Amino acid sequence: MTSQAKDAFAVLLKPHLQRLYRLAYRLTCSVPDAEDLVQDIIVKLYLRRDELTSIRELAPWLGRVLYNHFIDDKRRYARQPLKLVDPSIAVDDQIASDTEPLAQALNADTAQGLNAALTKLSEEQRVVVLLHDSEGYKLSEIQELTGIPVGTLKSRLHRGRERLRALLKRDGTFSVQDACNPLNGAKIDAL
Amino acid sequence: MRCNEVQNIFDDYLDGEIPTEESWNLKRHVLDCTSCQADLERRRAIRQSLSDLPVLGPGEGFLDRALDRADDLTAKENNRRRSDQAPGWPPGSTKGRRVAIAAVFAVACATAFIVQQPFSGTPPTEIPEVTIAMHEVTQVNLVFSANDELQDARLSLQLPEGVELAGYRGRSALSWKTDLEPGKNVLRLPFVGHIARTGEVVATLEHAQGTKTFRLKVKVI
Repeated sequence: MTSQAKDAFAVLLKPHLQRLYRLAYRLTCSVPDAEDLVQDIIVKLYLRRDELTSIRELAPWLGRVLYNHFIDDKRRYARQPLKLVDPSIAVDDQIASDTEPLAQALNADTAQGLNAALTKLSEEQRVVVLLHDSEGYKLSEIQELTGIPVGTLKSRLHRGRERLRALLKRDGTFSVQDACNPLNGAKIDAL
Repeated sequence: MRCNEVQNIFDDYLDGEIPTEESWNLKRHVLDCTSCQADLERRRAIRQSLSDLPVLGPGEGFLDRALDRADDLTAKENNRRRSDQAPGWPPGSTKGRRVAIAAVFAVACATAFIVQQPFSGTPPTEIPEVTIAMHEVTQVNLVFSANDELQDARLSLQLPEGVELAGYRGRSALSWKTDLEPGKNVLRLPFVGHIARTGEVVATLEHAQGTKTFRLKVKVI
């Protein structure tokens, strides 16, 4: 890649990088995997750089490229985290009962509990919940990204939210390994 | 409206997807019903927390690194195509088979890899060192090279004072069970330094064939 070509490619990509990375992070829940995913499509896109300039709606197109790459290479990006041996951080799968007192509204301190509860959703539910409720994608945008009909997405979103509410204790805590903890991406993986 | 009717449309209400009249009816019900009021508030709070969920990374200069990597890969691919027509060492040649297991430590966001001498019965002459910025997450790759598959290996990590893994606050020792495949096995770890000093990370890999210990100096600045 000549320096000029590299610069032109960077200029084209830069405005979309943050959104792409956020999407990758929501899909993989891991910094290393999100970086790998974005890195992979950057390599892939470079080979199609002439095509990029002719695309009108680059942002959704890039999102689809990233999502398709994630799906095509899912096994690589959805690796099981290493099993921690230490029992003190073992999963507590207890579902809160409705009789527990309402301590207080969820706040920043409960993000860990929320992350933990997210691990308990199916991947299909988690992705749509994170894209819709965390990233602010509309269902129609998620449909455009994934090719999944809006009705199916809506159903997954509904079930995902319902499950989240059931999993979260009334004070928002949930003692379990963090869903988007960086170490979830830590893996021993053959190159 | 009855409670179950109202609760069924709470999510649509929060999404702003119900007609105005229905929205007014819902609000009227919620004003008089403490149970539905609490339910709605809880859903709203969960939404807020989902919206506030942080996105970690990417590391500083990620785009530049990614572009450099794309550049390297493109060049390598071109070279490989050229060298396919010339004689050379095949992958996995006997040169590599002398090493039973080796470790390489590298900083993901550094341009140069810090390489530890391959293990061959004698300890490495020099301990590799990485430098990390204080209070920032730095991804550090631990690369274990194995000739054969190693099942049920246990990797233990002892961290020096002032160095933690992001997400595991206050834990200086962690261990995992894993299988190693033939070839290079990479473990990426998000290091965070809290004290400006140089310490030593000790990684111990135990498996049926024995135990290997690898060391890495971590300088926090």
